[in-house]
Amino acid sequence: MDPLEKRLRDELLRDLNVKLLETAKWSLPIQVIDIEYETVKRKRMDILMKMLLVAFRTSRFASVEELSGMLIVEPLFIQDIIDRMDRAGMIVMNDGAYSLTETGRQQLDAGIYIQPPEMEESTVRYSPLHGRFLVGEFTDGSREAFRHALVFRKLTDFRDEEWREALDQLDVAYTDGNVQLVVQAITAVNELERNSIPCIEFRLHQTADDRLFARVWNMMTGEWDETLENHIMERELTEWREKYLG
Amino acid sequence: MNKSEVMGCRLDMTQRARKEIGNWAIDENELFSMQANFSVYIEKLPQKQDNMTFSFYFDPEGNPQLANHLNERVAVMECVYKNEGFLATSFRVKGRKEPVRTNRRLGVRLAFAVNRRTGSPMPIELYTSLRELPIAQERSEYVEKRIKSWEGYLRIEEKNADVADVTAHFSNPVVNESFSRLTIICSGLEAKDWGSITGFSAKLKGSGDDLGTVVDVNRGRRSVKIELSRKYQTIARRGSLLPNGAREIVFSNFAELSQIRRLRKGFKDLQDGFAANPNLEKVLFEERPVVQITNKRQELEFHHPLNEFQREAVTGAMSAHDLYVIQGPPGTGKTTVISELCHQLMKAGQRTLVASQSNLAVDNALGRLLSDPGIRILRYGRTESIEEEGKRFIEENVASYWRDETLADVNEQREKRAEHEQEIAEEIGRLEEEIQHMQTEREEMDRRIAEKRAAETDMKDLREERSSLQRLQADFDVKQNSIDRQLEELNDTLAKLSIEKDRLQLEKEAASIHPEMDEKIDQAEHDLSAYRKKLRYFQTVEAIEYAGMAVRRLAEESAMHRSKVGSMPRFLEEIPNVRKLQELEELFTSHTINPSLPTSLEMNTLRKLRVDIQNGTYPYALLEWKEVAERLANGITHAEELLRKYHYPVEQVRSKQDDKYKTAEEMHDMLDKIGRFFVKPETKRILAAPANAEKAALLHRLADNLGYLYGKAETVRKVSEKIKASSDRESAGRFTALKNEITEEMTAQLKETEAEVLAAEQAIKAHEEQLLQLKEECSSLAMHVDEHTDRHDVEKMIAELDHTLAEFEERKVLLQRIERAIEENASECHKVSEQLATSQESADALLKEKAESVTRMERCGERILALEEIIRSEPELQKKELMEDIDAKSARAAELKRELERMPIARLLQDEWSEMLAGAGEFDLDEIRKLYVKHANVIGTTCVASARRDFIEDYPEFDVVIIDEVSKATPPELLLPMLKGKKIVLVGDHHQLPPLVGRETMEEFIEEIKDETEKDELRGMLKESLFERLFRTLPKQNKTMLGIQYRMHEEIMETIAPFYTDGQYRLQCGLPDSDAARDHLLSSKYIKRNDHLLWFDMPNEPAFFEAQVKGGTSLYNEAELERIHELLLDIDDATANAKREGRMQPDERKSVGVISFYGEQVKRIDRLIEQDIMPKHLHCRTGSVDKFQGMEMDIIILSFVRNHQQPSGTIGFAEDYRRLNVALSRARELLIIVGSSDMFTNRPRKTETKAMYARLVELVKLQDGFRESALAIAECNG
Repeated sequence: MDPLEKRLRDELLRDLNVKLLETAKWSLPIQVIDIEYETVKRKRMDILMKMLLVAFRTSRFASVEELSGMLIVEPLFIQDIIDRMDRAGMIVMNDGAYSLTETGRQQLDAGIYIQPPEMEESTVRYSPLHGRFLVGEFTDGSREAFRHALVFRKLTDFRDEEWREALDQLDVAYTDGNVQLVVQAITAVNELERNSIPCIEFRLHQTADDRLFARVWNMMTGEWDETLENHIMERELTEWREKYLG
Repeated sequence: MNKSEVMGCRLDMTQRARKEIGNWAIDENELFSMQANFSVYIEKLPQKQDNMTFSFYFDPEGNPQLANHLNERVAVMECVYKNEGFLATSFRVKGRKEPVRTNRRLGVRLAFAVNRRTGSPMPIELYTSLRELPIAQERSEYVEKRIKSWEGYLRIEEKNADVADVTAHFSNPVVNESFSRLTIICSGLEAKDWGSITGFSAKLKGSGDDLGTVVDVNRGRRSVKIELSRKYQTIARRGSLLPNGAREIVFSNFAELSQIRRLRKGFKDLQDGFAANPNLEKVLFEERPVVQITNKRQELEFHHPLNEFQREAVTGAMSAHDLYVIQGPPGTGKTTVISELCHQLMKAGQRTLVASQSNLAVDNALGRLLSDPGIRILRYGRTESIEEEGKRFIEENVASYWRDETLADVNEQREKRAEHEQEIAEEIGRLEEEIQHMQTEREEMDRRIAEKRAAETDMKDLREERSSLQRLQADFDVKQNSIDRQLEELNDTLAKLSIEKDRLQLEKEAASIHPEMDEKIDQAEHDLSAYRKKLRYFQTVEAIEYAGMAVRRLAEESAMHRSKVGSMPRFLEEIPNVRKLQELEELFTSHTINPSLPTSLEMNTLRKLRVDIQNGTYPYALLEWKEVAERLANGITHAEELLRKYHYPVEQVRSKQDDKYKTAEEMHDMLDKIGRFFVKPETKRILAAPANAEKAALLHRLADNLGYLYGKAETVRKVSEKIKASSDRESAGRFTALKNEITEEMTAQLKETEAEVLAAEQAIKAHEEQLLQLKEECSSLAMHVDEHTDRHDVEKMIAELDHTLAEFEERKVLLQRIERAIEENASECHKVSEQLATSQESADALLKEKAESVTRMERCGERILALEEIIRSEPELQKKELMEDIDAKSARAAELKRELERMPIARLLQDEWSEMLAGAGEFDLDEIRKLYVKHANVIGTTCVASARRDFIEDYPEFDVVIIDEVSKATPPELLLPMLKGKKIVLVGDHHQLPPLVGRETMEEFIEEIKDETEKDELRGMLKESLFERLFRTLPKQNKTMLGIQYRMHEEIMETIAPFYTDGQYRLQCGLPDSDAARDHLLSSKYIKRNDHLLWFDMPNEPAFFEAQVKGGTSLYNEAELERIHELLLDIDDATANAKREGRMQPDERKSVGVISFYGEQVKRIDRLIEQDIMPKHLHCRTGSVDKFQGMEMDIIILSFVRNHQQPSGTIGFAEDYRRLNVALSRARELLIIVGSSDMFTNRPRKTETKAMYARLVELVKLQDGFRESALAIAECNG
């Protein structure tokens, strides 16, 4: 019994009402994916202000309503920002439509990027059973695969936002003072390999309330994995009652 | 009164105030010259010696210079109103936190005229405002008591909660299987601590964070159970809940204490006047709420579909002042009402606070507001206590939530762009077509308008024509009338005339004259002439005799006159020579002429005058003077004698004249004075004395007086002579006049007599001539007369003949008159006939004309009717509508065209926007967060959190505060959000469970009160439901009850209907078809498709009795658990079956709530579901009835638990009808009761409790849902 298993078991059995029924070890299959993306460094800029500057640079807008309809943003917000830009001398009203001043142009440019975009890549791990990317210290598990494992998901099924969320978890974007690095675009994704995460499963009986339950330690995330526990209990609890208590 | 307006007023100082100001400034002049004027908040104090008394609070914000001088502290000056200004009586400076702006104070800007006794008096508006200002400390006794009762309660609570932290060593930490609880063993806790730490927060010593709350302790096992906060639940999963070496834990009641303090502060704020609505105190705590009633109701356009009750509630809440209360039975759409209210308030530009007692209720209410685009919700509170529904509204999430929503919307538009473009193009085409069509219509309208104009003109003419025709007709009628009358009259006249004619003919015949009659008349005339001559003869004879007699008489008269003249001429010749009266008298006698009467009278007078003169008898004046003369003479004599006696040379005395003493009377006076002087004793004394100077002087004076006497005597003599002479002259004059008169008289008489003689002679002559004539005539007539002719006969004959002739004349005249009348009659007849013919003609003509005019009228009327129809039509309006429609449509089309034109730009921008939104980091969205927070119009929080300092600073006031689930909150809790609302809307249901008020705290507080009646009163006040009291006592404009429920199947609703029946009010079911809308789709051994209300009865026998866990207080019931087990399995199977048979979707789950009145039972049900049943097709939730308040499920299984045969018959919690109400009203489709009907309908002591359950059993039986216990057992065993 390795020390981890022992530590976990001791912790669980500290409650005198809890009896260990069985321990199982297995691995949870995951997909290892490489994401290629473009990052830019730019000044922090209020998103709506930037959009409005872009809009005024692109075309003539006379009414807040038109902008509101196009951007699907409340007129109140747009008016508020326009007033602010007006006060800051970033835009001026010419012939009934707003246009950018020199200041406005400079600010917008800085808000788009200060350095040209750079290509980067990151590796992420996706668990089909969890339906999300997992973060943690990865060690490949060589044990038998989890008995209730789900099929792998096709990369084409993923949405851009999911990739972005995965990158968010890795904290690839950062802010340094007034300057931030942001993911500009996802350029490519490749499945590198299929791995598995080692897990330890404890089957337990809480005798005071006569409750059967599972505890699964996920060695990658380093926590009791609720998703896996529920997944097992939903499927096996009745079976266990018969098997261990029947 | 305008707050920014500066008002001047005088300010005088008492010595004390001056001294106190001296602590802060050189003097008052310096202090009050710091600023031109001051922002002051005036609070009225109770009157002092009949003077209005005030405290002036100087607002540091409004008085920068003063505040700077006082180091931002608050100056408070006490003043009385005096001589139309203020007199400061004291001046203090309080702390910086001293409240200044409260709703009891009047905020004004004052410019002080310091120490100036003169100057203008206080402006009247300021004075009026001051008068009207209520005395801040005044409050009704009732409000006082109510507030006091709650304050007292909270004070005890605070006292009890104010416990020092307890630190203890712990060991053996165990986390339960769901990571929700940590159990530790604390061996070092003291005895008192075991009793108090339940409910305390627990944290590791040295940590800043609470692990969670102590939920249970077991002193015997020395164990403490801590409910972990969500954060620590997650940490526990990672196995790192307790760091190595953690050995000590701290139990603290600080959270509870600070909560109680907040509640207490609420009351303090209320009393200090910090409620946004100054009326709040009276609204909440007065025996009858004092609200401003309005009958003006706003007209609203509703955003959500609402029923009549909901509309009433929203309209009422929008229109009411101060407070509005909505009583909402279960499922009646309270949240819909709140949602609509938020929408209406958003439209009105108002900011709303949605508060509730629990986080869950707040999040529930907010979750429903989602659909409304204009509403920006901000959820305020501790992130970790906020439910999933509310999470996206917390400040840190609003921006990313907004980003997600916007991104989704933008992407949706992008995806549908082609479609949209197509749609727009089609829409434009459609619009243009419509516009085209409408243009045509508009032309038609133009034509119709022109038609209408023409019709109007025609109409005017026609109306005129018609009225003139009517006038004509009337004229015709008048004319015809008069012609008819005329014809009638004429015919009448004609008839009369013909009668007259007949009569005249008859008369004429009677009056005609025959020829023999003429002859007779001729004879009569001849005879008459003969008789007349005869009569003349007799008359002349007679006249001759008379004339002879007259001549004789005249001759005699003439002779008499001649004799009368006689001696008169001689008398006249002699009279001038007469000189004396006597001679005159003799003359009259000698001529035998009698003097006339005036002459004799004058002669007598003269005679008398002559005698007087001769006798010396003068007139009275002379007699007077004579007397004076005599007295003068006496005086002179006396004086002369006296003077002579004393040898004064009298001869030398000369007469003296003076102007005094002129009249007789005056002279008498003078004489009297002189007389007195002579007889004076003094005078006599001096005179008697020998000669001396005095005597000489006296004598001299006497001589002087004598001189005066001489003078006066002369004067008197002259006067007498004058009088005598004039008397003589008068008598001579009168005599001469008499003579003249007599002469004149005589001469006149003589002339008259001569004239008479002449006249008589002439008359004689005339008579003689006449006599001659008569004699001649007489002789000529004599031949007609013989001696037989008698004058009398002749006269008789003449009279007869005259009569005959007169009669004949009369007849002749009569005949002529008749003939004339006949003639007239004939001509009249002719005339009338002619007139008749004319009239007839005109009558015929008139009839014809009239008929013509009637025809014209009819034609005219028809035309008018036709035109009226045209005029009544409103093509202008239609045209206007059309034009508006066209304008709107054209505008819309133009807009769409522009949109279409802008499509490429829109595409460009939306693509960019989408990319930008997707790539936006938290930092990019920061501004959105700020914008959102700035413009948030619905803020949600719990009652207690609304009193947190940062919240108060961010949101000091709301236009409206909506409090949901009011009946579950205590008055102190409610007060906190209420303080912030100008208007308050309370939503709740007092037929559901009330808030938990700490009984022990209450009793402890009551114990403090000595007076028994006050005890009862205060207990009553603490126990009463604020919501219920407000609902009962508010005027109808300020409350409403929602009456239509949409949650429950009608049959389920029937179980709670009795709780809500009140007068006319009945709870109604708003589901159009309960069976269709609330079909549970299940069919099984126990449940039929049309079952909605079932009762599985348990026998009231020991095998089915309740039980208690060892060492615990809560109850459970094993038999009921078994029944529930079966039922859940059955329902799960039935659901699977429904899916198989296609009634339900494969991934659908039935929501089932299993609830009970007892916690232990709930715990066991929980285990049952999680460990034994593990339903695959159900979404199960368990909980106590109290916890389930506010929730709803498809199916509810309610376990009663209580079942025993103890004599007390107690059913515990189930006795409260409100708890039963909550339990029964959670299910939408199916309500299953598991319990003993025997126990509940027969055992309880209280009749009304028995009745309540009996009614329920009856209802279930009526719906055929009662499952007998025997049967149940049989089935159970079978």
